[in-house]
Amino acid sequence: MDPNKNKKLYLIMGCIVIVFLIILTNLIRSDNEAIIDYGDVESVSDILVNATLDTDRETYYTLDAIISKFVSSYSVNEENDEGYEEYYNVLHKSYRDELGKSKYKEIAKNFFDKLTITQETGMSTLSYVQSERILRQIYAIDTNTYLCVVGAENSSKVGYIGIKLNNETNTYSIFYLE
Amino acid sequence: MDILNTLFSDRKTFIIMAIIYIIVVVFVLFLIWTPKSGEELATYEKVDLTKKNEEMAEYYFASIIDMGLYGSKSTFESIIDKNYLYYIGLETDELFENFRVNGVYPKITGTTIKNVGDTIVYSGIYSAGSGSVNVNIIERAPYDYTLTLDTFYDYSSFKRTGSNDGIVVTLSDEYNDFKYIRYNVEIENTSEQAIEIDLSKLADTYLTLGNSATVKLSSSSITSTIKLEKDDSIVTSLAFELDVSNQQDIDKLTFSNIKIGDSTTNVDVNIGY
Repeated sequence: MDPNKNKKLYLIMGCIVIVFLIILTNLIRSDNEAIIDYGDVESVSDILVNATLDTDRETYYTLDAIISKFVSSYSVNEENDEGYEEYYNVLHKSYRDELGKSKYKEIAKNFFDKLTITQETGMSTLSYVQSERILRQIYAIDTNTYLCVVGAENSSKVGYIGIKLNNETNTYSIFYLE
Repeated sequence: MDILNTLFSDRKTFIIMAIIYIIVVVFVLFLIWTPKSGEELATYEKVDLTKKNEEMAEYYFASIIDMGLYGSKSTFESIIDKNYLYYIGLETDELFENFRVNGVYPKITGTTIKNVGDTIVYSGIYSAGSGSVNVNIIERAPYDYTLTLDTFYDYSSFKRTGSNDGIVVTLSDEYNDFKYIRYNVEIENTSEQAIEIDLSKLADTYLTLGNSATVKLSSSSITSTIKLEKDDSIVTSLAFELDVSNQQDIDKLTFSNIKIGDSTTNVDVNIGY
C-alpha cells in the first residue's frame, strides 16, 4: 500500500470527473451552432429565401410578447438607459460573437428607431417607441426559428428580428436584428 | 479490483477525497442549473390561447365602442369588410351613419368567440339607446380583422375555378389589405401530359381589371418552376399589389405560358365580383 500511489490515483480520478463535468456543462448550457451564416447574409432577403409565412396564432402571441418586452427595454428619451443593453446576453452565442457589444448597441438602436413615433404637440415634440401591436408578419426559416417583421402603426418603416424558441425550456435567443 | 483495494486501503484519505468530489459535483450542478446573466430575460411564458382570445375580444369590442363614439368614416372604412359591403349593396357612408351614436354610450352584450377554419369570429350585440345590431369581428390573423354587421356570415369565403387543356386552377380563399390582394391557389393537372408553370416570371401571371388594365404577380410562396405530372396538384399563395379602391374591379386571374408537352397554353379564372 503505497500512499503516494493512492494520492496519484485520487488526483487522476478527480481530474477525470472535473473534465467530464465541464464537458457536460458545455453540452447542456450552450447552443453554439450558428443559426445563419452571417458571412453570406448581406440583407434580410438572404434569410427570407426559402422562408415560409407562419400564421399560427400561438407562435404569433409568443413572439409578440417576447418582442414587446424587448422593445420596452429601450427608452428613446433617456440618454443613459441601459435596459436594452442587458439583452446582449440574450443574443444567440454565434450572433454575439459576430457582433460584439458596441456593434449590437448600434444595430439595436437602429432597430428601435424604426419603431419610434414622433408627434408634434403644440410647442414641443413627443417621441416614444411603440412596443405593442408591432408584430406584422412571421416567417419560419427552420423549426422553431423565425424571422419577424415589425413596424409601428401607420409607418412604412419595418424592422426585422430573428428569434429562435426552445419549447422545452421556454427560452429563446435573438439571432438577427435589422 | 486492485484499484478498489488501493483506494479503500487508506480510509481517511478516501473519505476526505469523496467529500471534495461531492462538493465539486454539487458546485458544477449548481452552475449548470442556475441562470446565467441575461437568462432570466431569455425566458417566455407559454401562451394560453383561450385566455388570449378573450383578451383579444375585449380589445376588439372596446375598439368598436370607441369607433361608435369617436371614430371617423375613414377608420370605419378601413375595417368594414369589403366583401360584406359588396354583398349587401350598401355604401360605407350609409352604414357609417347608422353605426355612429350621438351622445348615447354604446354597449356590446352576448359576446361569443367562434373558430371558423383558420379565422376567429368575435360576435356580439352592439346597442345604443333603442337600436341594436349584431357586430362580427372577423380575425384572419391577430390585429388583422374586418367588421361585418348583422348575422355572421363569412362573406369573404369564396371559390373560383378555371380550367383549360386539363389544367384546373381553383382559388379557395382571398385576403386583402390596402395595398395587396392575395389568393390561395390550387393547380391540378388532369391532362395526359406533364405541365410546367414558371412562377419566377412574374409577368406570366396577372390580374385583368374591368378597364382591361393588368396587374402582374408581386410574390408567390413558390418562386420556382412548378412541374406537375398527370393528376399531380400543388397549392401556393399569390399576392398582387393592387390598391384597395381597385380590388373590386378585378375581372380575372390568368396563368399564361404554361408549358404542356411541346406547346404552351393559358388558364383564366374569372373572379368578377
